[in-house]
Amino acid sequence: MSSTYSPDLRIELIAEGDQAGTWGTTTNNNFQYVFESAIAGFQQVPIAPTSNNQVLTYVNGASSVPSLNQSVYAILELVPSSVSANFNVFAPPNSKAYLIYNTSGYTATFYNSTIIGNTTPAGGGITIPNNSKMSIWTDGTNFYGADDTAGGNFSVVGNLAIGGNLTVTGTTTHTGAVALNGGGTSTTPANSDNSTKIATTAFVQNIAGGLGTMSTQNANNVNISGGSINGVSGTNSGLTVGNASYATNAGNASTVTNGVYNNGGTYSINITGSSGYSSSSGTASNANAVFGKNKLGLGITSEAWQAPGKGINTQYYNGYSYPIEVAASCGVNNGPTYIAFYINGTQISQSSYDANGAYGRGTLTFIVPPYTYYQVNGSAGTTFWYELY
Amino acid sequence: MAIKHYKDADNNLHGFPDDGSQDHLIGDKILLTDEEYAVLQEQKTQEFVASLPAEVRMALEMPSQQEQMEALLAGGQTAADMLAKIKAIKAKYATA
Repeated sequence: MSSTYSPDLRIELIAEGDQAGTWGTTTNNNFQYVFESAIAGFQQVPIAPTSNNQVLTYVNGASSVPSLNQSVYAILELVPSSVSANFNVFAPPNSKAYLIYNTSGYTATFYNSTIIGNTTPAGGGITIPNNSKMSIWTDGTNFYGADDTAGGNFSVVGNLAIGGNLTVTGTTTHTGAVALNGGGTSTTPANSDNSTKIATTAFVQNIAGGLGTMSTQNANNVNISGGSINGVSGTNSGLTVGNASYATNAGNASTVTNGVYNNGGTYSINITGSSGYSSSSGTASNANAVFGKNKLGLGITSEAWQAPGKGINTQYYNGYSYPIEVAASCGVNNGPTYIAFYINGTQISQSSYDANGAYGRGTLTFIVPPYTYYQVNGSAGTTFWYELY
Repeated sequence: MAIKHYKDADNNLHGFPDDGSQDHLIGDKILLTDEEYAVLQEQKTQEFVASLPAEVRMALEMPSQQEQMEALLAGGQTAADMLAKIKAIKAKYATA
């Protein structure tokens, strides 16, 4: 009768009556190279995976060469040999506990083989990041981390990094600063809450929407870029309004910038008491006094006719903040001409011209609003194209 | 300021200033040489004419009133040729 081997550590089990006179050597080898190695043995495992998979070595019985029986050892350090990517490590499909120190430079994932020596995962794996020391165990099918629950208090002397989510049922206390780099949420305090609770965006918006009477504003400037200002009254209040579309009854303001005065439905510019501007209604001596623009278009503020080299049947874009005027002609000698223009793809007008054999040209002159596309389609080549900008 | 011309996926033509001020509108349009632009512009002109109502296309093709008057005054074969030409154009667009 020959020896058999135990299922988990593959210990050589001597058949009864066998190995007369030599069984002591076999037994000692079991103690030294299997029991001792499985309890306290340490060795380095050079990582040189094939297709990112590496199998821990194994033998039946004991071996005095540690590298031939890596899978039986208690403590393994994964060291780089020929590795350039994350890899898997396959252990025999038997229950076992390991202490792993991964210094390979890459993340290792431990699996059980379905059959000892192969690289087919029998079940779930456990991931061990580079430079991590982990206690793991397997039931022969799935690998687990050994320490997923602390029964009593748990203290960390160094830093604590959590790759997943953190759920705290009780309260947390932070003595140092807390950085919420990904944003954070909180319950919204009541509007009347004047404690040290965190103000959420909802809280701020509720407060901002119900300011009521603001008796004192000590800031140097209050910049209101949208909405409207209503109910402002008082004399010599030093109110400054920037870019306001309507500033009604603001005669006592010391400064009105870019204001358009609505006088009972009649729009006029009424700037009183501002140096550099006329106080008479309907006068804008500078484009900056209207809508805050440097140019108003159409020749009002130094625009001039230009020949930009544009042509028919081609779309163009008015990228200016003011309207431009376009004058375009097309046609051939001795023939009628048809011409049309479009704003943002919509035909606005058309014209046909029959010169009765003379020098005939279809011509259109039109205004292009700011930031719009325009196009002139014609039945014959471009002869003139000028733009006022 | 010069203009650089492009075509889009449907061969529609677009012009942008070469100072780069509207380059954000170019997208995946294809830059054209002057020669390519001229060819496509003529093609778009023909497409535009073809899209016009039949009566407009007939008017564009018809000899000018001055040509018709001169042919009428010349009489003879010249007037007959002009009449034939006018009839041919009318016949062409009568079935359009």
